[in-house]
Amino acid sequence: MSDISEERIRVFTDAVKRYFSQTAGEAVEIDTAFLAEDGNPVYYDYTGLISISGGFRGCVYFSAPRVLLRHLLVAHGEADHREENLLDLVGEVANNFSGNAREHFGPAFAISPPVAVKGRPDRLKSDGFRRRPFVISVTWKAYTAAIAVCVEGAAQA
Amino acid sequence: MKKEKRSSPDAPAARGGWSRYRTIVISVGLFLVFDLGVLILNFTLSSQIEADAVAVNLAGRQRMLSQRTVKTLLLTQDAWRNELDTKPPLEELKLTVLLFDSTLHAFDRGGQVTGADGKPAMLAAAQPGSGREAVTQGLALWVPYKQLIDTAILEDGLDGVALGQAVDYGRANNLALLKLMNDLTVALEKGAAARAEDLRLIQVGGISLALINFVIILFHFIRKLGESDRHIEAARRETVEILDTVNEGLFLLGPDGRIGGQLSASLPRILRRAVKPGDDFFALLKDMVSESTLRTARGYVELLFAGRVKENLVGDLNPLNRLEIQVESATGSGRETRYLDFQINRVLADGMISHLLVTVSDITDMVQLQEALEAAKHRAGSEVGLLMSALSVHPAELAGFLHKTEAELLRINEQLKQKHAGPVQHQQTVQGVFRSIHAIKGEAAALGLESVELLAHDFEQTLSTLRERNSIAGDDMLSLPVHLNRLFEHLSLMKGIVDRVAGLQGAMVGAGQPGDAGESLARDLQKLADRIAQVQQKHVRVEAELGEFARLPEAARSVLKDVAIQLVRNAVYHGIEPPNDRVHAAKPEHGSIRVALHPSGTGMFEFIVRDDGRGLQPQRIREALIASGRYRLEDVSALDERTVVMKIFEPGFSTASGDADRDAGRGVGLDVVKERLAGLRAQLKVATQPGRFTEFRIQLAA
Amino acid sequence: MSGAIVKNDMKLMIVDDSNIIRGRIARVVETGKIPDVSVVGMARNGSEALRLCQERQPDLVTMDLTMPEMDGIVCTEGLVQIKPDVRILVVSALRDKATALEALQKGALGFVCKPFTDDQLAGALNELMERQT
Repeated sequence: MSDISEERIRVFTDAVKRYFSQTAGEAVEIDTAFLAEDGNPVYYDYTGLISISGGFRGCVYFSAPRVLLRHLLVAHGEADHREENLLDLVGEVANNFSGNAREHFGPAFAISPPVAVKGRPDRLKSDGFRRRPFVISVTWKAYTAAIAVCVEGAAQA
Repeated sequence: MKKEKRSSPDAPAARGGWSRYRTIVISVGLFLVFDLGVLILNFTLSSQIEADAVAVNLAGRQRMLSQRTVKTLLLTQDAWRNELDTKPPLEELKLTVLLFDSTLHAFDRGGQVTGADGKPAMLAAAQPGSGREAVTQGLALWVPYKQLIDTAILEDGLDGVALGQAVDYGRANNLALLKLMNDLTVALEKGAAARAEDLRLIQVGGISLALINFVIILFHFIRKLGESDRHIEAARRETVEILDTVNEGLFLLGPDGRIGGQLSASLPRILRRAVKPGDDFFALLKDMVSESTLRTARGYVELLFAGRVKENLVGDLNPLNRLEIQVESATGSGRETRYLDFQINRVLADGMISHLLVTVSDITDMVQLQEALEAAKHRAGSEVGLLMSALSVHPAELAGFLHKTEAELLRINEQLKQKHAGPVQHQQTVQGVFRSIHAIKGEAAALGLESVELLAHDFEQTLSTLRERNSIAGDDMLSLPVHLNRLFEHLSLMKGIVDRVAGLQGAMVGAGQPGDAGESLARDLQKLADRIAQVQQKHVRVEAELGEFARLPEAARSVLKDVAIQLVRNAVYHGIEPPNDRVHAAKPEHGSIRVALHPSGTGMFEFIVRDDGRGLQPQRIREALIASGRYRLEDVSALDERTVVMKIFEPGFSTASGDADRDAGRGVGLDVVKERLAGLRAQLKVATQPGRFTEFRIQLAA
Repeated sequence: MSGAIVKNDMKLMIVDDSNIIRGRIARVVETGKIPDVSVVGMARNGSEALRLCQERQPDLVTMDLTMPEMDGIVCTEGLVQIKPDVRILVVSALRDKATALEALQKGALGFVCKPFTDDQLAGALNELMERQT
C-alpha cells in the first residue's frame, strides 16, 4: 500500500514552518489538511518542487501566491521583487524540503534538486501521481499557500 | 555535550608551579650553600695547612742549619790553622749562613726563601703564640753571630781573630739557638695540627649538614610522591567508578584511531561485542556500518583531530548519530536491529587535541517507539486478509456500502478543505468528521467488514483524542487526511474485489437470490447483535418485522438503516442485562430487541426499536453527565427526569465506563441518530420504564 | 559604529546562487550582529567566487554547496589555494553529510544548516573568527 504516514507529511510541513519562523520571524499556521481532487492539484502563482524516489516515489511542492512571496521578500529585507527573486524564494523553500527529506528518509531515497516554476507546474500534469495528493493549506500573514505531498502510483500487488 | 573537554589529571598542578617546587628549590639551594661553604673553608684551610707544612719543614731545617753553621765554622778554623785548603768548608759556611739568615728573616717579616727542594717557597711571618717569640729571640742571638762570621770572611782570605771570636760566640750560643729553632718548629707544628683539627671539624660539620639536608629532601619527596600517588589513585578510582556505572559507552579515541586505555563497562554491552583498550575503532565500526558511512566517519574523526575546523560548527555532520546496526540478539536467537548514537567531542590537553571523547548511547527504545507507532498506524490499513471479509457480504449490498461510504468520505474531505478561522472551527470540523466516521464504522460493523471497521475505529481514536483537547490547532489536523486517505485507498481496493466477485457471480447462474432490503437489514442487525452480545457475554434475539422496508424510498432506507444499527448496538450494549441479572429479575435469559416498520396512516410509517432490557436510568445518566465534566452537580440535580433522559441525544454523551471499544462508549451514537433523522424530517420519541424496556419510535413520511 | 574607532575590518565574501540568501547574509552582517566585518563581494557560483577572491582578498567566505557552473566543494578547494588563510563557512541545506564533510576536508572550517536564523548565522561567523558571542 502506497501509504504515507503523518510523520512523513510532517517532515515537509516542519520544513516550511522552520523556514518561515527562522527567516521571517513569523510562523506559518496550518489551516487545513485534505486530499486534493483527482487530477486537480492545488497550486498558486509560484511553485517550488522536489521529486523523490526510493522507498516511495512522488513529489513534494510548496506553492504560494505572488503577494505572499513579495511579503516574504520584504521580511527578508529584499526590496527587489523581480520575478527572478520570487522564483528564487520558492526554490529556497523547496530546497529545505530536500534537506529535511534527506535527513529523515535516509540514503535509500533519491531526492532531486528543487525546481521553481511559475504557473501550473508541468510535473503535476502527469497522471502518474496518486489520485489524491495530500494538500496542507497554510496561512502566513493572512495569505494562503499550499504544501502538497504526492505519492506516485498505488504499489500493491 | 557541546563544549570541548579539558583533561585535568592533577589538580594541584593547576595551582601554579612555584608552590609545588618551592621546597625542592630551597633544599637544593641549601645543599649547594653547605657544599660550597665546606669547599671554600676546605680550600682555605688546606692551603693554610700546606703553608704550615712548609713552615714546619723550614723551621726544622733552621735547627739543622744552626748546627751546620757551628760545624762548618769549626771546620773552617781548623783548616785555616793547619794551613789546609779552607775553601770547601768556607763555601759551605757561607751557604749555610745565607740560608739560615734569609729563612729566619722570612719567619720574622714574611717573604720568599729557598725551599728544601731548592725551589722558592713563601713564608708567612710567625704569629704571636705560634713561634713569634722564638723568632724574635733567635734574631737577637743570630744578628751578632752573623756579624762576627761576616767580619771573619775577607775578600781573599780569613781574619783569624774574627774567626776565633765567631767560633767562641757560636760555641757559647749554639745550644740556645738550637733550642729556639726547635721551639719554633714545635710551635708551628702545634698550629698546623690545630688547623688540621679545624678542617676535620668543618668537614664533618658540612657533611653532616648536607646529609641532614639530604634526609630532609628525601623525606619531603617521599611524602610528596606518596601524596601524589594517593591523588592519582583516588582520581583513578573515581574514573573507574564512573566508567563502571555510566549507562553510556565512553571511551577516548586516539589519533591512531585506537580505543584508549579506559572504557566504560557498558560499552561492550551497547556495542554488543567485545571491546578492549587498543582496539581499532574503525575496524569495530566496519562490521556495523556501510562502506560510505565508515568513510564519512573516518573523515569526520580526522577533521576533528586536524584541529582546523570549529567543533561547534560541524556537529551536524557527524554520520554516527542515530546509527542503525544489525547485531546478534541478546537472547541469541538471530539478529536484531539496534540504533546507536555516537557523540564525538574533542579532548584538549595543554591546548592540543589529545583525544576524542566518544559517548555511545543505545537509542533503540526511542527509535523503536517511534517506529512502533508508525507501524501500528500502518497495520490497521494494510492487512489484506481483512479484505476477505468483503467476500462474505452480498455484492450488491457491498457495492452500495462502498458507493455511499466513498461519497461520505468525499464529504468529509470537503469539510477538511473548508478554510478554518481558528480552534472553534477546527473543533466543529472534528465533531462533524467524528460523527460521519462513527456512522461508517457502525455500518461496516453491521456488514461484518472488519477491515473498514478497524480503519474507521483507528480514525475515530484519533478524532476522539483531538476532541478531548481544549484547543485544536491546524497542526493537529494533519493526521486527518492521512486516515481519510487510508479509507479511500482501502475502499478502492474493495471496489476492485467487488467488481471481480460480481463478474464471478454473474457467471454462476442462479447462485443465490439477492434478498429483499428488509431481510437483508434484519440479517445485518442480527449479525451485529450477535457479535456484540458475544463480546458482552449476553444473549440476544432480534425480532424483525421489516416486510415494509423495501417500500421506503432509498434515502429513508439509508437513514433508517444507520439508525437501526445505532439503536440495536446501544440496546445490546446498554439495554440488555447479563443473563444472570435477567434471571434474577424474572426475565428470560435471552434479551429481545424488536425492530419493526409499520404503516401508520396515510403515507406515514412508524419505525420502532424496542428492547426488554433495564431501561434508561436517569441516575446513571446524571452521573455520566457529571463525569463528562460538562455539567456541574448542582446543574444536573436541578434537571427533571425527562430532561435528563433527553440528554442522551447530546453530542459526546456516553454512560459506558472504562476504555472505549468499538461498539459503545464513544459518546456518539444518539446524536448521530438525531441528526440523521432531522434530515428526513422524522420525529423521534423515547419511552422507557426502568427494569422493563426502552423504546424508540420514529414517525416518518414515506 | 563610531568613526573614531580605527577599523580593522574582516572582509567577507558571500557565495550562494540564491539572491535572497546572499542578501540575507549581507544584511545580517550589515545590521551589526557581527562587528567589524564588511561584505566585500558576492558570487553566484564557484568560478565567479574564485575570480572575486583574487581581486578582493576576503578573510571570510560563506559557501553554498549546490551551485551551477562550479559547486562549493571545488570552489572551496580553489579558494584555499588562492588564499590559504581564508576561513570558509559552509552554508547549505543538509542534503548529504558526506558532501558537506568533503567541503570541510578541502579546507572549510564550519557548517551551518539552511534555513538559519540571523542569530545562528551571526553566532557561526563569530565562532569562525574565534570571537566570544
